[in-house]
Amino acid sequence: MKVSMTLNEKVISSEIKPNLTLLDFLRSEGFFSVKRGCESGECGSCTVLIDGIPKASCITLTIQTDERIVTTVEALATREELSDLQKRFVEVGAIQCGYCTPALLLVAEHFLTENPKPSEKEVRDAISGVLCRCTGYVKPVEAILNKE
Amino acid sequence: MSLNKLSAYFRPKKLSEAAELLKENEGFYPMGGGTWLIPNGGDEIKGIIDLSDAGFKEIRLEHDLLHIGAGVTLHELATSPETSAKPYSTLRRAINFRGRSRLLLTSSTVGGRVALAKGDSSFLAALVAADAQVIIYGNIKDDISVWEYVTDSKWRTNRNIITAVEIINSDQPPLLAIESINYIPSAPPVISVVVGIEISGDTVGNAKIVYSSLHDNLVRAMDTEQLLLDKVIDEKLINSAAESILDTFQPLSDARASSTYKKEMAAVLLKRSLNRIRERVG
Repeated sequence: MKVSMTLNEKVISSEIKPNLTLLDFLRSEGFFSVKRGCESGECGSCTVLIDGIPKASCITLTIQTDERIVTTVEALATREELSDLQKRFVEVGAIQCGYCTPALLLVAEHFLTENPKPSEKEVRDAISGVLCRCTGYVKPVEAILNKE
Repeated sequence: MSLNKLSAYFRPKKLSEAAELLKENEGFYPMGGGTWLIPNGGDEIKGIIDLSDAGFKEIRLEHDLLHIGAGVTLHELATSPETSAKPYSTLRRAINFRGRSRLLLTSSTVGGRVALAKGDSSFLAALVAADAQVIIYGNIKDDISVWEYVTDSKWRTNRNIITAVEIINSDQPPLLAIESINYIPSAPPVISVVVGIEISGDTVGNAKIVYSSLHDNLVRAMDTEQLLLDKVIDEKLINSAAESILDTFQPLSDARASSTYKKEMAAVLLKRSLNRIRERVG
């Protein structure tokens, strides 16, 4: 089965098995920021943006992204510079083990484009699909709230 | 990896095309958001008809009808203006009781949730209590309530495509109350109940008491519903109703709660719900 998608602003085509998940596909393409977690869409570690919307790649078939736009955290920074939100995560210390960080960044980037001046409650609700077992969410929430 | 026998995938833009594909191909299944099908689908699934581009994503509130397209996601429904006020705010609360993982809610569709007919869905329980109808593509002769749909397997075949769920407003829409016990917000409730009461004059004209997470399927307390009919909701009636629940169910024990605990909580939650409805009746 052939799939064509725009992956991090680059059009790619590939022959795939019909049951290949997007998570497996992206990792096989070297996008290791997309983390394997629960594989049932509950933990959010594998989050990517599909047509700009955060989705769990473990419960998305690669073929579903045919003619869609897929974005991973690798697209947030340029080779020289981190994005503003990434910088905030670093400044605030919102990263501990780092496993959930790519997913938190993608969810937060999407959320802030929809709601640039959120309340803490709104931020917590927005990131509720991504489980973090290190930070207790305090620092990530602080980083997201403080984004200029 | 699941879906080992999957060999075909289609994303039709028209419902008629989707229906044709399902009719002509053995082992093809319709897919809404895929949040259940992709991680859990077995070897019986040879082909997937992805309905994400086939439309029916409209939420429409008319004076006597709430129409919810099957392709609407739970997140869209829970944040739409149409569900911001009573009686439909109960749907919103029920969706949030299902688990607050926004990531899943942005993918799960209303049609998918109904088609799965899972017994731990407080959202489905709310649809039953609100007397919602299921609209199936190509079926114009039968009115199918959500309750009939989830309890009668003849409707739940992979040939049927749900296009919408509709709630018809009478002059006196049901008063809905939902109560739930959740240990963690991202998981289905340990137990929840949705009560829908239609008041006729001063007394109960119609009642629906729907529990989720007691069994594999949703359950209704039909004897207790009967007990409420034609009576004024007062403290005595509420106590009798709660007492009758204790003899109604033998809930399944699971990792989160014992059968005894769920049984007692079934009575407590019913009491709370009826008390809230009583306050609203005044």
